[in-house]
Amino acid sequence: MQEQTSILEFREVTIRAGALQTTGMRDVDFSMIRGDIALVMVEEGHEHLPLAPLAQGLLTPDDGKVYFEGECWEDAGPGRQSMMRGRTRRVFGHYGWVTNLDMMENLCLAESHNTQRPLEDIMQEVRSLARRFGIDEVPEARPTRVHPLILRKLEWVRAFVGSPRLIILERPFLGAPKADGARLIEAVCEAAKRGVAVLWISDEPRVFEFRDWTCVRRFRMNGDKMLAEESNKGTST
Amino acid sequence: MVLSRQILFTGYDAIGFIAVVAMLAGISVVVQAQVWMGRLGQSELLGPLLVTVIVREVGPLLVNFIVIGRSATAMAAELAGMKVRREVDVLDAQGLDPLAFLVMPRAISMALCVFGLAVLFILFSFFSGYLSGAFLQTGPTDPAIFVRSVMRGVAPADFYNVLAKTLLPGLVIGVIAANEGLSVEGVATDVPQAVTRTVTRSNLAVLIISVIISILTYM
Repeated sequence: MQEQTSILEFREVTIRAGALQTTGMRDVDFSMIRGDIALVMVEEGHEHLPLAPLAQGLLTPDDGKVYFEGECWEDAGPGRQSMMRGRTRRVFGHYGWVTNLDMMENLCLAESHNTQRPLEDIMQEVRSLARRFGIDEVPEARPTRVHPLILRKLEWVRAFVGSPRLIILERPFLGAPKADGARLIEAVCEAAKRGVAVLWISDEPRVFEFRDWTCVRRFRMNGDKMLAEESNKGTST
Repeated sequence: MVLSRQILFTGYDAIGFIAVVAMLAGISVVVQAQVWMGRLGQSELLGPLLVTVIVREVGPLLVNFIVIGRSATAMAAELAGMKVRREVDVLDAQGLDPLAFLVMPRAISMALCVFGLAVLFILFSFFSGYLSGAFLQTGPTDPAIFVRSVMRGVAPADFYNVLAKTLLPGLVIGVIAANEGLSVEGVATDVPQAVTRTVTRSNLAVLIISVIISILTYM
């Protein structure tokens, strides 16, 4: 049984649409505990929902508070915020790589920077995760030299490296082969069983309609409101 | 990782160019100094004059200017490009503080490299000056005499002067370049302007620091 530790909590969060985000949110109120999977379906044309940057404390809401592991982002100093973000992983809705680092450096960066794990150990985990997602060899090139399909799957790899508390997936199927989707869903379910909270933001109905989720809660953005839908506490097959 | 790469780019990769400039500067300054000191019958002042010109002023200043033109501009453009491509956000989202990961290693490496390159510049200048003086027979052919002449002009304050005129401006150049690069707000057309500001502000800062240190050291 999972410990009922709050991982992510939005309390009456409002953020207005502006220059940095095209979609606003009003009175968003939800929380996630260990092992939770939250699916947030966004409307077409409103894909750039600022949910991920808010969850990571990169954006400050106009009203309300966002808490990560019981700690309010706004109350934490910059150093503390970096440490807290080190316990999260994210598949970015926009380009998510540092172009002057090669792929392996990119993949190991967060884990090597935020933990004391030996680099060789992290690299081994990266290679193993890459094989799981159908990549036999991690490319040695820099991201600009890697095919977008591979890049997208390598973002999945990076999201699962180490022991994050929260994984945020922003439209992770964007540009990825459909056939590989099941592998990602399987990895997400396994991570949730280990106690990782997963926030999945998607504009693809197939993610929302998938029935084999474990401990999944579904939300739908309706304008600037987030509406909760029926949840599924069944087990994965 | 970042620090070692920056040292490699700013320091190691610049050694060849610094050596060429130092050789040319050495020939020009040392030969002229030897000729004029000889004509004035003040050959014993050759050492102090060379130390004053090359060690105290020309060496550190030229190296600072070269590093601004060669590395600070590249650094500002690189960081501005990262900002435009939202790579800084990507680092931040992964728990890497941009100040600690991007700015600090670059500023520290810049300071260390300017110091190291200035030392090399001074050595190359004297070496080329000695060789050209000996070849043109305007200076001593015995290297020991040349070295003694230079060493007579060196005071302990010169050591601190070189340290201060390289480490401090190097650090400031690094901070200015990083700050200008990271100040770009997501528009590619702002990148050249950030580079231009880096050059003008860094040059000005180097000159101001150099003057202040000269006044504090030798007045």
